[in-house]
Amino acid sequence: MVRYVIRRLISIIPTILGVTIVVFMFLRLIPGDPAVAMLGEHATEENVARIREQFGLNRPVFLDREALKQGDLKGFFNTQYLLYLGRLLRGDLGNSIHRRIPVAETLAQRFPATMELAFFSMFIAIIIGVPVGIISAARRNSVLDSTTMVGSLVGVSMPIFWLGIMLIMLFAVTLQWLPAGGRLDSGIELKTITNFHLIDSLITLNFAAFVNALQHIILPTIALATIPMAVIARMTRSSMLDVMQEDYVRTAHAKGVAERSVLYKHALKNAFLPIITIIGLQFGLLLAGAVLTETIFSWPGIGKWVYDSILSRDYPIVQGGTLLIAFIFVLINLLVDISYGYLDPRIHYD
Amino acid sequence: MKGKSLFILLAAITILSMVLAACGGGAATTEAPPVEQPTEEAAPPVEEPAPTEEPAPTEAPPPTEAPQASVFIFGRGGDSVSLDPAIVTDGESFRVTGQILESLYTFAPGTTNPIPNLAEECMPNESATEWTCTLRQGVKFHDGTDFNADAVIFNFERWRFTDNPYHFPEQVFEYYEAMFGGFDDASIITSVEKLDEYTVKFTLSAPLAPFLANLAMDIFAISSPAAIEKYGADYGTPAAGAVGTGPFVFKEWVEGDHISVTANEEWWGGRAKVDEIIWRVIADESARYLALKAGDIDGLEQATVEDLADAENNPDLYILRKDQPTTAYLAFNYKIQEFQDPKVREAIAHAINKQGIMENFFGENADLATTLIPSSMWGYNDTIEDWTYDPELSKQLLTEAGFPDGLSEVTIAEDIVDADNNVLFKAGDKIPLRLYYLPISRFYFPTPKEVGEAMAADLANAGINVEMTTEGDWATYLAARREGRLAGLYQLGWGGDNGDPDNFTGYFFGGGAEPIQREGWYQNPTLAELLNQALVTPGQENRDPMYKEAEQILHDDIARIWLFHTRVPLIFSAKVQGYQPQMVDADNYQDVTVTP
Amino acid sequence: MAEATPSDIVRIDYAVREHRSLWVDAWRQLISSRTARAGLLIISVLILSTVLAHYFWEYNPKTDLDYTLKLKPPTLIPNEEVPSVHIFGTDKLGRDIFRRVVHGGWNTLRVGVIAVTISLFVGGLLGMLAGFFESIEMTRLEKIFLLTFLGGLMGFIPAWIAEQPVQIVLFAILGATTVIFENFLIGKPARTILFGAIGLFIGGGLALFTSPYTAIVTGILGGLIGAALSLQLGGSLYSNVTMRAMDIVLAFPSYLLAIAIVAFLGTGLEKGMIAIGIVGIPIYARLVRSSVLSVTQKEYILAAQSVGEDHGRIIFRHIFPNVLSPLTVQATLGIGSAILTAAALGFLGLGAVPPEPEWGAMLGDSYKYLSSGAWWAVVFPGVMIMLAVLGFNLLGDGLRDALDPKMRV
Repeated sequence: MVRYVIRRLISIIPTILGVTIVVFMFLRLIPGDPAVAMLGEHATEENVARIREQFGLNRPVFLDREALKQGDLKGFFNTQYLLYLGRLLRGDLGNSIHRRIPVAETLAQRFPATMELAFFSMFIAIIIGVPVGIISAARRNSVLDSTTMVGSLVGVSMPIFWLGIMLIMLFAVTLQWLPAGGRLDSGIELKTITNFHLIDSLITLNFAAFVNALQHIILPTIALATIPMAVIARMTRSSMLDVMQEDYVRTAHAKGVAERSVLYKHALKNAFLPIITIIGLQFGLLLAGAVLTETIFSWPGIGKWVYDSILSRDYPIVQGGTLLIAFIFVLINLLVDISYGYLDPRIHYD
Repeated sequence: MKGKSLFILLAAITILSMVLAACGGGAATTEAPPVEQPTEEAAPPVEEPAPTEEPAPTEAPPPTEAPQASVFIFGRGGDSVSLDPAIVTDGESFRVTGQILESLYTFAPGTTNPIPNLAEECMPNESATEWTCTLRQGVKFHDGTDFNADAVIFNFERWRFTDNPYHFPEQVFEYYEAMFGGFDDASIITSVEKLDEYTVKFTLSAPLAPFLANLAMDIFAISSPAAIEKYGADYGTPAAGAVGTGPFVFKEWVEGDHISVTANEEWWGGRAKVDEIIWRVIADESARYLALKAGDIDGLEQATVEDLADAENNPDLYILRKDQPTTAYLAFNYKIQEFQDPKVREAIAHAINKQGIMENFFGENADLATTLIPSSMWGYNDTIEDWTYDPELSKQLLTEAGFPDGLSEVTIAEDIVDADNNVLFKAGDKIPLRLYYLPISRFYFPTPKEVGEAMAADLANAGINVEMTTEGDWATYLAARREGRLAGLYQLGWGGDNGDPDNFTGYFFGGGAEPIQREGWYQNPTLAELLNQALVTPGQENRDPMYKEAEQILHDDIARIWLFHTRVPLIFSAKVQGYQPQMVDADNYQDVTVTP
Repeated sequence: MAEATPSDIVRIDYAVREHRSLWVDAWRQLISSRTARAGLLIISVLILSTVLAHYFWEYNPKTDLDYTLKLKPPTLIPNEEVPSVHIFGTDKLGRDIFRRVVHGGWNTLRVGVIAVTISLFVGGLLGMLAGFFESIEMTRLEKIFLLTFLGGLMGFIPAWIAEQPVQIVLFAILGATTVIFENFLIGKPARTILFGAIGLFIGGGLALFTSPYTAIVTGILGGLIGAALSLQLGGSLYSNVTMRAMDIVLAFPSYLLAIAIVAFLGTGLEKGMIAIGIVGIPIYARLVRSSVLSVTQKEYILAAQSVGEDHGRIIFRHIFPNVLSPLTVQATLGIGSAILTAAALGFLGLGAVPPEPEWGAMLGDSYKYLSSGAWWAVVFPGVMIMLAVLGFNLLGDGLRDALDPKMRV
């Protein structure tokens, strides 16, 4: 087990390294450069050249073969990518080209917003999806079962940006129950500690802010949680059905163990394996979907930010943001894999 | 089971590391947080024990009967780039810096006339190469330091000299270069001298007609030298903000979310009427309008015609318009053989139903454009007669030009290459006639894609069959335009910076002795000569006819199709009064009042 | 596979059946299931209507413009204000939304199908080879091919540094040579040294023409490549590299990756197809690899190998049919998610080139008129997207039940 975990942790390194290479390559392949994007209609040749110079954008991307030709080994490695990697190892994500402020700073502010939304959505998806799946499995082929299954299929098929728009239309515009966007009303003061508004407002006992933050997060959460909720419900159901056909469950039935007990004690624990897998996978998709949700709900997270930065060619932001999302994704996959060993004693890692 | 406990440990570590990553840079998480007072309370320092069964804080009246602070919340489409105005070019930055910082001159409300501001007056010598400015006395920066001749010189030298320690290499002082000819020795301002504590003298290498208008631009606002020394390259970032002499003091900037400023109690012009301004970023127009209707914000900028009609019928809302000098146009790439024939250009000009487009998409937010210079500016030529909308005439012109069956394919006249000299279109290539639409909405060109669709339909009716396309996103589009490789008709526009006509016609066509790559290879030496002459001719009365003539030349040549001059609509809640839209530069907020 | 990894736990058990009856069986199963029938119905109606419209209901989006009809709500009975029937209302340019929705289906469905085809072929091929090489002893010829490929691939780096494309060819040949002289004369360590030396010579020697410093670097690289090739890591190396590459693609947030690819390729429907196709590759590669791995453990494959059936035959006769059913299910579901991604790209303005109708773009363009009450311009394209995705999901679900009753999600 220890060896397995260590090996998996090490195996993250090449993946992350690969991510940096791909991001780097892609960004430089996309035509148009940050200098032009930044200077807009006004751009003059000299200024474009100057900005390219200042941000080292005129350096070769991966390796400088011209420098090598001259015997300049240091120059050979003195390239955009390797310099970036060097800074990355020191924990420096670089400065935004357009705003000239450290990417890490903004990331620290925006990343919690995305994570708060993602965690909250996943939490809702699990606490609704799993019970619904269990009940459906327990009452297989009942009206309830078929309704939830059809409902969940519709949920899986939902374009989330459209769902978000519809939610805004209904709850924010027509009924005016909930705010249409943002994380917090402008008048509300909240001391930021973790930058998770829900947590901050609780630990500072600022209930007005808590209620306000909760109101803001409800609609984006519904939009974002719909698909994972539906997928989790379906997975739970089918996994439970599978397990309930296993011999030991039948034996338990035969022995006259109470239905509830069979369901929760025997079946559920063993059905959890695929459910965990799907939760891990869905979390990744959830982070990906954040681009759209954040756009629609004016949520100041990283999805929208990275998207905008692709358009403005703000390389360091795209690099930093993507790297972080990829890292979280890989980490969650790792957690899922490790949790197998915990949930299923039959699996041994060696 | 050993494995299990280890798993728990590892899981805990991983989760912790994630949380830490999430808080990255945030304060310590484990320590008990300092006891926060529930909002707004003026906080008597009571040692509050753990809140047991106290009455709910919301019900308790505030201890002091202070009147509630009046806050003005304005919704806008994007965030500022930086609060150091010298290094930015975007309106969203100036919108904020215009409240915090002031320039020596400013534009009189609602006009493009420069009037004294931080300077009491600036007087030129005979040849207009020396300007002596008397500065306003007793003005203090927000950090308490004095505004004086040294501060003015500090700022101008920072902008001008590339080796100045505060001319940070990672910053681009783009506008200084554009407005004053260049940096260091190329600068038209050759020296800024201190005559006494409150008098400075600018020496110019040549007369510069729009000198006062330049001084009035938000870009050349005076920052506190002490603040720049203190923050260095961080000046203007969310962490540092900006320090000026203006009616509002920087409070906070939550990137991508909002910026807030509070009234400057000691402003020389009298304290602003509102206590705090918050600019909130709501990227989507629809969402912004809904936020206004819901009362989340008190005012906003930019809305669809439909929303404006709705707002007009809503007694709780009213509309103002920012008469910014802007022009949207449709340009030709002159490396296309067909476009070199004026008949073809004229046919296209007659085919587009500008009136229809304008009514459908902009309503009162735009005027039809007949020239590059908008009617609100001097130099505007009101005698030019626009091309009529007449598809039949278009067809006839096309027939005369040799295209009786209409036009859907064009020929490249000369190689079109990219920055690395790769040939994108070879001379002689036949390509479909393209209409490039802007990949994003700009203030001078809202809804470019839909307007493009309408144009395409208009052109199709006149037998001109265009293929709509765009060049990647905004960055790519701009690059392609700069390199003159938008091979067809393309949409673009311009927003004026300082109300001087040179900032329009001169900027575009002043270099036209050679084919101008950036302007679709347009070439017109006569026009170029005229414009360059106009730039150095002193006196508005002498320059005005020259720009009028330039407009006539452009029209006669059908150099481009001028589409419309947009006005930026602003919608406010009826609670708000006193907002003063400006033609150029940031709007004025100091007289805004918000009745609760 | 000496150790159990989690993916092995959910090993899929494919009964060995005569394969024609499997598909006939599956079809019967399929049409007996209510969900699948619903899915088939939705998809058929959509496909039929768009195809019919595409060929028989002429629509020229380029001339479609009528300002007098802009943003009219759904109108079933013509009246003075709206003289024509618009069951879904009209958009900002006065275009009939129903008409555009029906025609837009042609574009949206095409994107879904083609994007999945791309991911299916590329991903399927990569996964098939990875799974196959990982579990089955390669023939000599296959080894030669593979090592030639790997040699060329690795040779790319020194070739690029020295600006000598010929090095790619030389390293490819070197790769092939390692197999040909596999059992030649000397022992393993000596062979490694020998090939390392040859690599050093290829990399360094040629690069001397570029510059001596370049030669040093490429020489070292060449030596490493030569040594690596001589180790004959072929199969597992290939599989590892492929799957790691898939991990990397998977680690990217899918929408952002698609957006970046579109930004690179340029806007347009075809570009969108490619972008979505690339983003989907890892799913299929992983699926096919794990299916192949589980199939190759079966006795009949071992039997086929032992009687000396050639590998092509094994792949097509035995492995392919068994991989086909999970692949069909995944592809059907994949069309649904490809449509979703395409719609999202369209919504962000990166979809079809206007005025071509496309559901996501229609939604994105009309979104800003929502605050003025034009709900119809947003609701109907959205409903269509949802219906299309739902149709493919229903069908995919039914297919799964039909093809493999044990594999329900």
